[in-house]
Amino acid sequence: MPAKPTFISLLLVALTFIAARGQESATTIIKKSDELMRGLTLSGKYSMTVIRPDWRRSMEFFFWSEGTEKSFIRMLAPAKDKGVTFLKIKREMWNYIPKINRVIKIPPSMMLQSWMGSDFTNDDLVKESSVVADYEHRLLRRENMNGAATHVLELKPTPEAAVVWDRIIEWIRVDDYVPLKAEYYNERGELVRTMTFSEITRFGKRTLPAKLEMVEAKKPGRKTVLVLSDAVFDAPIANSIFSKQNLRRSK
Amino acid sequence: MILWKIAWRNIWRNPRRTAVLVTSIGIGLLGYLGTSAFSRGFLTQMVESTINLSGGHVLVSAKGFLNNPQVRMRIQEPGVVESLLQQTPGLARAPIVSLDGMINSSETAAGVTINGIDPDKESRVTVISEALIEGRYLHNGNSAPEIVVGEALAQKLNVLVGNKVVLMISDIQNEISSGAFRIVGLYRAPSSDFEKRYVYIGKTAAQKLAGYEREISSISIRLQEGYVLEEQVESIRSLLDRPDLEIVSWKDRNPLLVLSIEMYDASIVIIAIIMFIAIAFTIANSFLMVIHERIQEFGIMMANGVMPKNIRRMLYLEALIITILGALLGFVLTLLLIGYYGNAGLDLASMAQGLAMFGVGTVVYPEIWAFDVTVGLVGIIAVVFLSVLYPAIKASRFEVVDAIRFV
Amino acid sequence: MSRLIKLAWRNIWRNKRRSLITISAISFAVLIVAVTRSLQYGTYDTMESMAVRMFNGEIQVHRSGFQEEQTLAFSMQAEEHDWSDILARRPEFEGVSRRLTGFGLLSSDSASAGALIVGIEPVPEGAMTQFSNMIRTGAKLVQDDDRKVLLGATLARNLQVGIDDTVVVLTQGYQNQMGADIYVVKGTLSAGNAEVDRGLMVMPLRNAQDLFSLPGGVTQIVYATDDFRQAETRAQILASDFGSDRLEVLSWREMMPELEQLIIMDNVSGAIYLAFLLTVVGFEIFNTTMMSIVERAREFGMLESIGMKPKQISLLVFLELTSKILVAVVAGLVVSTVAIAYLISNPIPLSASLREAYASYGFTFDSLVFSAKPRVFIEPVISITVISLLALIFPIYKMRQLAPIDAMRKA
Repeated sequence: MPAKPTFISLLLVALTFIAARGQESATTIIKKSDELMRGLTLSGKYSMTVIRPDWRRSMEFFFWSEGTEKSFIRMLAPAKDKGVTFLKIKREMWNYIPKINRVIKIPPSMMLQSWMGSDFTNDDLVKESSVVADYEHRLLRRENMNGAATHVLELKPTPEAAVVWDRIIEWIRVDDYVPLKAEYYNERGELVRTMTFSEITRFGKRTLPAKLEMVEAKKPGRKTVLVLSDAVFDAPIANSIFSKQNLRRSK
Repeated sequence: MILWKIAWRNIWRNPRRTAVLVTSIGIGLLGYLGTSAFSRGFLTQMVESTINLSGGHVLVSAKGFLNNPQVRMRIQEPGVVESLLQQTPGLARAPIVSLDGMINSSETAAGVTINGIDPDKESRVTVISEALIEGRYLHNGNSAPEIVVGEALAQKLNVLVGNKVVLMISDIQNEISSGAFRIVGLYRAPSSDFEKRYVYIGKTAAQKLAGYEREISSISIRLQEGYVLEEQVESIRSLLDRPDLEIVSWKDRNPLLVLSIEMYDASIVIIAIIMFIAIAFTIANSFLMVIHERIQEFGIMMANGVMPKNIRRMLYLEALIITILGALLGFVLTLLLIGYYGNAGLDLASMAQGLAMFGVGTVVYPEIWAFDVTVGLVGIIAVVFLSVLYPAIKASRFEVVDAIRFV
Repeated sequence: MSRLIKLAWRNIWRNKRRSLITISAISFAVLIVAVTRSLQYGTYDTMESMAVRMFNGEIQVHRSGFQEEQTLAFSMQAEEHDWSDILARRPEFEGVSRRLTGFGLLSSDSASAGALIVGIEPVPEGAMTQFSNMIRTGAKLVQDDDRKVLLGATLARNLQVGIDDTVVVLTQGYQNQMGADIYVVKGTLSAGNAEVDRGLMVMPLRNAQDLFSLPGGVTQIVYATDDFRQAETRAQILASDFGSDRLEVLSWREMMPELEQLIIMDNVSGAIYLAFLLTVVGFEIFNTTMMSIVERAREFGMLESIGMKPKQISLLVFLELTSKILVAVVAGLVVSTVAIAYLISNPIPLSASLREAYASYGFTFDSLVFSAKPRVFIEPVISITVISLLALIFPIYKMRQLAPIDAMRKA
């Protein structure tokens, strides 16, 4: 007699499913969201605006990346910085400046300096410390944000992780893993940095936020805004892009 | 022999006079020895306050490290160097892994020199373990990711004891290496530049960060005695005569301090001379007065047929006894004064407010040097002899009648 | 009373030998303390003024907050004030120089290193501070130098560059703008300080302004005055003259608190020597006074037996001795002035090796320095007068205890 699935057994199956999903979800959600934003490869144009209480400055650059290991940046504007290039391979970074016609390897002492005057450091561009491997993840609750259901997750650095934060709280859309907001806290429980994501746009097969705003909570009036356009995800990128020769190439 | 007796009796015949002479010699010797003992103490303190916080008296490093402190400059076989150093007894040694890098808090980042130390050994060479104002020192034999930072740096990074910071350096593979460390203690140094510059972690943790196995950057050595150590430095230099090592003394590392000390030394010599003139003047004056009082007495002696030569001898003998008594008094007074401060030290912070804020390095311990004692004694004997010479000659040449009539 | 004064005066001259011994003892004490203090203050002044003139200078003016943050966000426009105006109006201000300071990464073909970059006006800066003059190899910067730099000697060695080689500098300038340029090494500096030798680069001010994207910008205005010890008062004068709360005016004491420690140490050690010296000379005065009174026991006995009251005798002795002290202190002051004037015009030379060592750091320092400031004379006059008066108390007290008969029988 073939056993018919009873209501009870169905319920059990459903429950284990839900439970399983609940267990793996915190890490999985972070992983999926991370993959969504990064893609296998990415090439695209960014415009960046640095806002300070008494001034603001805008710049544009083209960006290529392959996974977390390799990336290349070519400044397009302003005119003064045009042709400046950056190459990152693993944890090393080189910088070419046309004005002096030199390639300089960025030393550790400059890694924590601001990148092109923004609220990002060189290290932010380079580091492989990943939200997946360096943190323990915990699902806190669900919340509605901007009219969408979101997971609210807590990320706690593992004891060995070389991370200055005490914890990060991240809001990720339930349906499509699009991140909406991340808050970074120090060990005194003070909010230090907030990233908000908006202008959710379709690039090929992917839907993700094109705009990222970063605010330093303790330094009012300061903000860095990044907007991505012309992005192509997952298309193969020639290896010659991520080479030192490419630094000096004018195009 | 009879002269001895007369001299001895003369000395006790007028205790007031003797007291004046003995105390003037005693106080003079106290003044001279006290001044030189404190000067020695000050010089030592000047050196100590420099070497106390870092480096010790002698620093043994990999060749080239001091001028260009890069991670690839390292002592490859610290064990060999250590066993060579063991041949010289009485050295306190501390291994250091010294790395230039960045420290990062959630607030900001700063360039620092990371000192990986062996906590126990380090405390025998530098005073960093005594300079803590909050929290605790590093635990021994502990590779835990713990760090001690300066008060000023903690303020700049906006971190407290218990908070986490991230250290970042370029490792032996020339790749960026970083690690999280928990702050266990804050120290205070005489200068805020020092506090902002140096952080301390365990040696093993530093080796791990740098990608070293057992290599270290330097060994700092504290010698047993004060600051005149040239021979000891030279003996260590010849002991460690290897092409991969570089041996520098605190003098090599602080040429300007050496200049200041030489300058200070030069002015001390002048001050010692002045002090001696004052002492000589006091002693000579006292002897002149006392002998003057006794001219009548000499006249009577000569009238009774005592040879002038013998009067001179008597005076010298008296002076000798008085000098011995005075020197004894001087030594007792000096020992009382220096004995106290030599143990307890003279805490300058208690004498001058404002010094207390500088933390360590304000206590001076006066030092008695055999050289100074010799100079002091010989000098005083010479002064006494010269002071007695003139009146003695004069006294023995007085016309008997004049001398008796002299009031 | 006037009879007593007359008597006292006559007594002083009656026994010239005795008076001379007392007076010379006191004068000598004044002289010796004055010369010692003169040397101590002279040495301290020299050492401390060297430390001040090494790098920081006496007074600096910044945009408020620069001292704490040391970043280009706290820079200002050089034209914001007429910085040299005060030199014309107040003679105590002797020089002014402008600087722009920032950090950068220096690279040569073979190596790279971080350094503090100081943009200076070579001529006024070199006249006020030493760091740009302490040339080991090559030459100093001059007014019209363009894109020429001085490097700390160790820094140059680490970068493996020599005179006329080039270094590339990469910086984050004003508003974190990227700055980069190539410079020619004109000289290397040896400051006798490992930190400076290992991490300092000096360039012309306008080159630094270009590099840091701050045309016309400065971070520090440095002032030299005629007396570095009065820097705090002078700083206040400057502050009220500018009258701007957007500026901070700092004296070297505020910029170099660790030097303050050195100064306090000097003062304390000076005080300890003074204590020993005063013990010795004080004892000398006490001895002399004591003996001059005891010697005269018979005389006092006679005075008492002819009807003078003990009180009057004490007063007589007191008047005698105080007038001796007065004469002695004045004489001591005169002799001290002459002696110190002599030592200042005929200084005691330093050893040749010490002279050369100082010269290699750009300091002309040939001889022991004696100071002639008022304290040098005021301190011994006051201390010796007090000690002399103290030395009177016991002998006079002792004298009054001598009964007339005892006194006459004595001696």
